[in-house]
Parts: sequence; structure tokens; C-alpha cells
Amino acid sequence: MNKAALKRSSFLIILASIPFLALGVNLMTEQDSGVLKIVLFQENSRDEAVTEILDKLMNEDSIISYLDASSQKEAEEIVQAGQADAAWIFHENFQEKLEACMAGDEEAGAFITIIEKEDNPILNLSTIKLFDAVYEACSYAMYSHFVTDKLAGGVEISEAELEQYYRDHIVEGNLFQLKYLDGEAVETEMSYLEYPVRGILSLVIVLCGLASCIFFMQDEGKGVFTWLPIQRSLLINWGYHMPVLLDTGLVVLVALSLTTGFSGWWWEIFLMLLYLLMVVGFCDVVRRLSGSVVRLGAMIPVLMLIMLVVCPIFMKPPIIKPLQLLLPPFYYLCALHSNTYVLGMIVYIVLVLAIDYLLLRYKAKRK
Amino acid sequence: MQMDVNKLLKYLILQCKRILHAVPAVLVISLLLAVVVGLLGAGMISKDASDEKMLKLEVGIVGDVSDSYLGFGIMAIRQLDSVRFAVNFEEMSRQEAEAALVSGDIDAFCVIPDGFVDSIVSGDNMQITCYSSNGQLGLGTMVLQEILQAVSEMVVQSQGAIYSMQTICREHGLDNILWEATDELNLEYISFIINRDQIYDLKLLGISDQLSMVGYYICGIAVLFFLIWGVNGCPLFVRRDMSLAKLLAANGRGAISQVLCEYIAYLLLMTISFLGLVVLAGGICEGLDLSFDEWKRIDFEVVLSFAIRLLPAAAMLTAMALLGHELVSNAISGMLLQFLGAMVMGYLSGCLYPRTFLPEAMQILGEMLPSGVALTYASGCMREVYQVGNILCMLGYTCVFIVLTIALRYRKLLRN
Repeated sequence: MNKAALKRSSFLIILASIPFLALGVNLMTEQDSGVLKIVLFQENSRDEAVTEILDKLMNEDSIISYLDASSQKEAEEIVQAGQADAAWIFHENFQEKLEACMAGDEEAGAFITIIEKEDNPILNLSTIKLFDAVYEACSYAMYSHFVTDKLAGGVEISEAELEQYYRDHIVEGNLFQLKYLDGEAVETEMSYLEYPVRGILSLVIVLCGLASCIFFMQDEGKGVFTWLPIQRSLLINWGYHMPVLLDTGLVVLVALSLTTGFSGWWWEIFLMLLYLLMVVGFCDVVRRLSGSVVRLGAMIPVLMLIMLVVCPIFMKPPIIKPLQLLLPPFYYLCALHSNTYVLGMIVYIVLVLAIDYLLLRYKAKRK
Repeated sequence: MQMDVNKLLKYLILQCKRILHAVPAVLVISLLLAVVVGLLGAGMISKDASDEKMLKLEVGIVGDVSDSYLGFGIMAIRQLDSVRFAVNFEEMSRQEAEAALVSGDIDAFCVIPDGFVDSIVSGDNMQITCYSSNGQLGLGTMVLQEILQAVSEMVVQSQGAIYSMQTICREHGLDNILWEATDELNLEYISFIINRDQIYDLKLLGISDQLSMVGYYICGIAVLFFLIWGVNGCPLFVRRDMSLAKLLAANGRGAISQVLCEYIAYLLLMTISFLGLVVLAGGICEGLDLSFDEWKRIDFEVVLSFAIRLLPAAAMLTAMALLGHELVSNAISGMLLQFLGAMVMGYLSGCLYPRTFLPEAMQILGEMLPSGVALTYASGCMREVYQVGNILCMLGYTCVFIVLTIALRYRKLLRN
């Protein structure tokens, strides 16, 4: 089987192209991109507070990318043309309004204008970022007003002292750290563009397994297995698919090693071996249930689309546990940082082996 | 001449018969596909399961949350309008949180360490650890990171302000009003966070010539369906040996007639399965109260007319799939090529992630690819825009794919 596949130059070319795809995505992540694009414009370019906020936003590592506009009209046009998701316009008298607002003046009015095409949840999330960016200025203005105007009728203190007290009490660093269940820190340098690579490559392996099943059925139809006990031995059935899957698994591992989400060779090889066994079992069961090449061929896009939707490949998948637990990529993708799913993979292999064997015996009896 | 046309027609009928044999199986399987796509689509556009719900992150909190600053942080998250739609917090034990994370009931849980409050008081803030379920949360993890960073900033800044005020009280002999003032300043911060929308005005321009997010995803899913559907044709169109094709060529049915007949038959199969699904989806939509910005009421007529207008895109992508089948000589390579091609094209053209998520150069490239043209065309169909340019572009691509397929077949026939 391996010889037959490797003899085909097209198969080799496609396999060889897989690491290049991963490399391509890796290169893509180095370019400027973001989940949201926000246009920034400050009406008063001499307003230091706004300049500081804009500098902070522009230099921050975030899923939001920012671009400058030279006027509010230009910012609106950029949003209208779909080149950006929203525009944030910082008003001319930003600092005055901010201070008045923090002093409790209800007439002060807004000091930023957000321009959007439509209000949606992802854009709503961007306003958290905006709030985060201006919070320091707001917090300081509120504290300053409180101490100088409200505290015991107003404490006499210089602006420099006020600021010094404030700076002395700010603790640097993030209050939160993000980890996986196994204790490993979440790779902050990993781009969202790179996240789907592992998922897509895991589907490629399933696809190879299903394609191998089509070959098996065609060879069975031609009588290639006349002298082999394929109706009695699962080993021959699984052994038929394994060489192609091992080739593909190896190439996928090489491709994954080129991404930032690679967790080390030994762990990845161990997971891949478990995954290949799961895929062999899954594909063999699907083959027996489908019964014909045409039906199996027609099922493949369906299975691929289902896996694409319910496995954690692109966005947060819907929770359809009974369906997800049937699909090998779900375990493989979750097991990367969870020992529970590694255990699940082992249980899956045992179960799928038993089901495949029962189906084999059942079909043999019917014949 | 008459003889040639007869031969061509005979081969076309034979191809159609061969394809029609596969229709029942393909249709049954396509029904399953419809259920998946239908569930996905209905989930996206139903009024009950809005976008907010789809994006919502469930986060567990483990540890003592009675401290004022911690309560402040959680209150801040709960009160932020946009975060309230994005994150839901639930207090639980560590064991419950781990089990819920593994089962997928929550997306993450935060563990508040013992002594956290003391560390805040001493100004040496300890970190709260948030555990994420796995490495594949993708955008969810990144959104969570952004939110946590924002909350951290709010807590740290407010904490700094309150401690500064307390120090000033102590140093200016105002110890007697310290706690009263602390409560007052705390309340001012809380009030500011609750009423944070006072700092900005929102100006909505309307979607004008662009699609809403739901409309965009529907177009993306339709194009992705056409792309992945190419895998379906591998058992039917990938040739392991050329003896039959050679025999046909010897009988006067050369590369051109072979490819054209196969293309028409393949397109017929694609059209039958696609429209079959659409009829079913349209029927289901009749019974549901679904709508979004572009389609104020989704019924059978709306769905069917949109699907019929998509057929030129289907014709182009079917020609591309046929070229893919001709490029390879076995089913494994064929499926790998079709699937990887679908993923790469879908990814670059914006079927899987919105196009704007990609770097600018990739956006331009994605727009020029056949899948990108198909997505732009589908977007135009949804907006009911007359688009000659896109139709000509798709026609051009279709011709190029067919000519390349003929050239490959011709070469194969010569070589054999």
C-alpha cells in the first residue's frame, strides 16, 4: 500500500507541500494583521494625553490593529469603505471634558466618538480596549478631583505631589496569567492566524484514512485480497491503512514543528501515534458502515465539514458532546494540554477496536 | 459532422447516467450535510441564539471572592456592557471547575491564590491564574486575554488611586475619615465603570454596500460548501488508468469531448445536490422565524432565488474541482488536493475567518483567487447587486480551468 501510494508523484508532491503551507501561515503571521481594524484620529494633535493614549494603543501587542487618519471625514470614509471596522475620534477638548466628566459634571458630554457601520459583539469588545486605554487618564483625574475638592473639603497639595503619590502606588504587571490545565503557559506569541493549522492538518490525516478506505474497497472489489483472511483479521484491515497514515502523520509532525504551537517532539510523537490509531479505527468503522465506494465518497465532504464545525479548529465550536466524542480530531486537539483527553484517546482506541471487530464478525456471518 | 455530434451526445448521456447512479447516495449524504449547515446557519441567524451568545465565554471563579478589590474586579467585568455579553462568571470549587473545563461547560477558570488580598495590600500583587481548556480555543483565548488585561489595568489603577488617597489622608491627619473616604472613592469608580458609555458617542453609519456579519458568514459557508464538495467527485472522476479514455479517443471521442461531457455531468450532479439541499433548507426556513439585516424574512423563495443566482459560482468551482481530479492519478492524492485546496483557498478568501482578519497582501491575493471571486459574487447576490464584472471573471476562470483540463487529458492520452 505504501509503495503504491509513494509511487504516485502527485501524492508525494501534495505531502511535501504540507510543511510549506504551515511555513506560509507562519510567514503570514509576521505581517501586520488584526481581528479588528480601528482608525484613530485626534482632533487636537497637541493634546499630550491623547497622544500618549494613541502611542500606547499603537505599540501594544493586540488582536486589534490600528491605523491613523488625517481627518474625521477620512476616518468615516475608511470605515464606510470596509477598510476598517470602526473609528475612534478623540475630541479637540478631550482633557477638559474628561476632567469635567470625572468631577461629576453631567453636562460635560462625551470626549470620544466611536464610528461603526453596525453594532456587533466583536466591535463591542473593542470598546473594552478603548475603555482600558483611557482608564488610566480617567482614574487619575477622578482621584485628583477627589483629593483636591472632596476630601475633607479639599486637601492642599501640589499637582506634582498628587502625581507622585499615584505613581508610587501603581503596581506594574498583569494581575492575571493564562495557563493550560497541564500547567503550561498559554503561548502569547502564537497568532490567531496560526491556531487553525493543527486542526486542519489533523483533518488531513482523517482524509487520508478515508481515502485509503476507498482504495481498500476498490482493491477488495478487484479480488486483490482473495488469498488474505480479511474477513477474520482486523490486523490486515488496519495494516492496510497504516502506511499511508504514518507517511502523512510524519509530514504533519514536520509541518507542526514549524509553528509556534509545537509542544516538543516526544509529546507530539506520542499524541500522533495515538491519533493515528484512532483514525485507523474510525475510518475502518465508517468504511464498514458505508458499504460502497460511492456512499463513502459522498460521506467524506460531510464528515469533513462536520469536523470543521464541531472540532475546535477556527472559532469556539458549539458544544455537541455526543457528536464531538465520536470524532478523533476533537480528542487530538483537546489532548494537547489535557491529560483527561489523552486517557480518552486510549479508551477510544480500545472501543473502536472492539466495535470494528464486532462489525467484521457480523459481516462475515452474514456472508 | 452529424456523426461527431451523435457520438458526443451519446457520451454525454452515458456520463449523465453514470452520475445519476450516484445521485441517491450523494443526495442522502447531502441531506446530512444540509442538517449540519442548516444548524450552523440557523444558530447564526436565529433571534434566540444571537451573535453574543455564540461568542460568550463561560468562566469559573475558584477561591475567596469576598475581598473588596476582587469583588471590584468581578463587578467591573459584570457591569461592562460589552463584557457582560462576552463573559459569564460562575463561582465554583477547583474540582468542579476542572470537570466543567474538561467537559466544555466552561471555557476557562480563574484561581484566586490564598493571600491574594494581603499581597494587594502590601503592594506586591500576586497573580490570579486563569486556566484555559486546550490549545485550540483560538480567538476565544485571545479575547479572554484582552479582557483580563483590561480588567487588570482597571483594578491596578483604581487600587493605586485609593491607596494614594489613603496615604494622603494619613499624612495630612485625616485618619478619622479614611474609611469613609475610601468607600466614597470606591463608589465613584464603580459608578464610572457602570456608566462608562458616557465617555463616548456612538455613530452608526449603516452597512450600506457591505454585508452584515451574518450575511457574510452565510456567503462564506456557501462558497466553502462548493469548495469542499470537490472531494465528493474523487471516486467518480479520478482515473487510476487511462485505458477507457484511450479507447474512447480511438473511437473519435477525444480529449475535448471527454472533458466537456464529464464537466456537464459533474455540474449536473453538483446542481442536483446543491438545489436539493436548498429546497430542504428553504422548506425548513418557512417554518422558522428567521431574519437578518439583508433578508428581513427568510422563506423558501428568498433562499431558492439566492441559490439559483449562486450557480455561476458553482459552475466555476466545479470546473476547478474537475481540473484538480485531472491533476492526480489516485483517490488519496485527489482528496488531499481537493481538501487542502479548499482549506487554503477558503482561508485566504475569507470563508473561514473574515477576510479583514488577514494581512493586507493576503486579502488582495484572496480576493483574486477563484474562491475570493465567488465570495465577492455571493456577497453581491445577497445585496442584490448587478455584477457583470464578477460574472465575466468567473466565466474567464471557468474557461481557463476547462482548457487546462483538456490540455492535461490530451497529454495523458498521448502519453498512454
